[in-house]
Amino acid sequence: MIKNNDKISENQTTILLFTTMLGAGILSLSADVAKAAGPNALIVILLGGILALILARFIGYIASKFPTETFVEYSAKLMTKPVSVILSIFLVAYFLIFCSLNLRIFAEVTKSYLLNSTPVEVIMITMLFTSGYIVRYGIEPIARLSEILFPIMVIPMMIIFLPTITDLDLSNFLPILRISFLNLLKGILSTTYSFIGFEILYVIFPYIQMGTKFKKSINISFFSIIFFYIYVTFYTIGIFGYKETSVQLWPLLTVIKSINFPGFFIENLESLIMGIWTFAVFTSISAFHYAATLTLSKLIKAREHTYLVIPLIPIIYFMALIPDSIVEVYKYASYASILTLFFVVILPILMFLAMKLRDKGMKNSEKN
Amino acid sequence: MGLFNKLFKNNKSNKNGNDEDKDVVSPKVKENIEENIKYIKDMLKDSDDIIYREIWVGEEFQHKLELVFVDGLVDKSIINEHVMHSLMLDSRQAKPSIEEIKKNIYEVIKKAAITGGDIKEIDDLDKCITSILSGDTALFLDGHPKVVIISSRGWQMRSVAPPETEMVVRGAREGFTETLRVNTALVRRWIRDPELKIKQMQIGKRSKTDVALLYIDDIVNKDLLSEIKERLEQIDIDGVLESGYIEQLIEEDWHSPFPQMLNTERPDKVAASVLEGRIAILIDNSPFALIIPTTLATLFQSPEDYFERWMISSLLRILRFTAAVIALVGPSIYIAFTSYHPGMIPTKLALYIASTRQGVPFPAFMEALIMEATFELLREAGIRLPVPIGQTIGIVGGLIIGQAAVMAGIVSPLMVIVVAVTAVSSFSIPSYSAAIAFRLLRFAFMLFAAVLGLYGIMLCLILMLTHLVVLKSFGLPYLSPFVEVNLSDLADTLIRAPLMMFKKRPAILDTQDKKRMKDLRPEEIESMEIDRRNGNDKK
Repeated sequence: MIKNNDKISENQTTILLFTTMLGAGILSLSADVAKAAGPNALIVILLGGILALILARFIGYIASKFPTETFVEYSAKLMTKPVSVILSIFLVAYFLIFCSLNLRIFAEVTKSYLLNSTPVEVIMITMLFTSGYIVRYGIEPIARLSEILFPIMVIPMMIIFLPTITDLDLSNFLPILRISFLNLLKGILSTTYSFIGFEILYVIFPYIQMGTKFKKSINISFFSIIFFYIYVTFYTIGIFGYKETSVQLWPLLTVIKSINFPGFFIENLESLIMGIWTFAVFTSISAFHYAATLTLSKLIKAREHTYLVIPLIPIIYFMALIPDSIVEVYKYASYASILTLFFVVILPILMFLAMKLRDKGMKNSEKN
Repeated sequence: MGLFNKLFKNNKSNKNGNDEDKDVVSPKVKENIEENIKYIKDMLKDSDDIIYREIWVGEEFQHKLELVFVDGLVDKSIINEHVMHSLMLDSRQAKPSIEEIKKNIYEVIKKAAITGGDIKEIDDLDKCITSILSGDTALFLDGHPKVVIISSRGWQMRSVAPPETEMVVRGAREGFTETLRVNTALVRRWIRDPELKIKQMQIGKRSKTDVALLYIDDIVNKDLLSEIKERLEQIDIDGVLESGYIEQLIEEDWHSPFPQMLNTERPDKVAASVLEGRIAILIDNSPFALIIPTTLATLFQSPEDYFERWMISSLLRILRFTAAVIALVGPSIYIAFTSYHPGMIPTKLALYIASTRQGVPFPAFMEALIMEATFELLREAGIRLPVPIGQTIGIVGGLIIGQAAVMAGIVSPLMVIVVAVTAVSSFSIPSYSAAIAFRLLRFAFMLFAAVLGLYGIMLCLILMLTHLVVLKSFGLPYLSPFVEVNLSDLADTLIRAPLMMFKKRPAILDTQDKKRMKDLRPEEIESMEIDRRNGNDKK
């Protein structure tokens, strides 16, 4: 019982992946997919999710070959030290970018829905320090916190939509599959932002308990998040129709505002959702914050990652301040998707090739 | 644990130093009785409650004996009847052979003369003094290098009374008292297992307080046991006055407002915990036992939960957890909604709140703070005052101050309701230590709500949860089984599942003996019933 191994179990890995992916993106997801794919939004989410799942499994496959090492170490083995250093720096930057994007979107939404007169800076700083508090303790508390928050986030979100069943108009999802391949592809790309977060697989492998079925973890977390996204989008588009959904910035909040529990005391449920969403964003921000800190500490060979938690806070903060407005935030987010493309598609392929070459080389040298 | 470890390590080195000193002075009992008595009198000089009683026995009163005991700590009847009476009178009536007495009076006295129940002999004078001060009687014999310690402890003590802080409707009404021996006996009465161990040690350089570890040897996790023993042995303090001392000296995180050990006055709770595989610490002079390890979920358990039907108990559990949430965030939600998000409450309610708050000169935060502080004051005053006046305080506080404050327009009536509901909620948490932790944190929540509204409450909640997920009680995550989820353990948290489902001991405790009961499903019971009836019919 007296254990302090700082490793997370299979269940915790599943939930950690889920809560990391579930972040700021959920608010705008239905607008993005409605814009790109119209009535086929649900299919697009399903396909996008499955694509992301395949990529995540691919990253997981490569990382699992080096179960005791993080990206910094095994990339150096696969593709020479200098390349690995550059890639690691980019990976840190990548984590930081998504941390700050989540943070900025969160601050903007909170400002417009909860704290109209509070500057976004205050919201961001308080959030970052709260995140820093847990990141200092390492991955185990982050995973445990996700475990605690998971039911608090998911169950109310599921229940809250039930009274709107009568408002649903299923014709909003017609006509099915009358969509050009290009638009389908565009739609799939538009879901990317909602699945970002599984890149932490690059670095968390040494902290997962030995003998964990990571494939199962990844599968379960992806299928549950795909289901969750489809559930939410189904209600949003089902109530508003795709045209109305696509012109809104955060359709999820609008749809929740329109929900009325008959005879229920609370009229405006968006306060409840804002609370839940704070948890969702926090789990993403802290996971990215942790991943960035961890990668950086491995990169500069620091003994403890704890010392780097605080120095990263101002960096994330200033990065989050770069965009001038919320519109620009989403523009930056789409630029960042290019990095995503590199990190989840191109890099795994390159690393896979490098691994095969290396294996071949080793076999050859054994033969000789 | 870092700093704490360091503290312990320092203590350890100090302790070693003391041990070396101790080796030098530890006088043995001498043959000459005068020397022994002189040493004891020297050590215990200026202590007028020590009684020295000389007795002369033998045919010509040639053997000198001396009894030493503390007045008030001993049961006089034991000394009078079973020691002095037997030595001085009874032994004369049934003489063994006189020759033998002359040869070895010591053996005769030890074996045949003293009719007291529990005697032992020691040859260390310092230990002898400790025994005397614990309430035993020392019997010195002239010409023998040993002293007989007769157990004669018996002092004025409170009798076993109902546990006042943990009342139940259904269940035993016995509570612990201040005497360790009575308390261990109370637990023994619940568990007659030879494997129930009561391991005693003394803690406190000066107080020499008896501390007993209770556990069931073939259930308890041995790592946990040795960890607790180690931590107890590391304590180096002059006196231990209450189990709270032990709790604070061996807990893992002294920054935390949450109790990392459960304290209870109820022997049935101790028995149940010990059966689950936990370890209880009982200490002398304290009616509160400590139970280790403790998780947040156990703070919400009451013995009654297991005695009543499971559905009712489950409802009560849910009620208690809800109460904890209300006690934690009640006033802060009020602050957040009235001062930051009035648009988020239903329009009618918002208008009502606005109308009641009309004329209230303070912002919601000040209003809440004043009322909460007043309530805490009343509660504190209520505890200190004698019972009859305490009730008066309740009336003065509840009715007069509340009513008057509303009438005077200092606070809104809704605020009074919020404070009242919060107070009632905080009292429905079975563990008092947990309840005060929640009450303390409530003020932090109020502060966050005053600065950042609903977002502040969420932040504070995250901070608190972060602290809780990091916190451990003897290596056990404080929030388990909610973290590192185990379904069979979850059955005894938010709900109390039917007793039939508790076939195993809590998995989080990692006990040696995992099985609690035989798989006896209701159908089986039914079939047994039918069998019996059939059997009867045949007859």
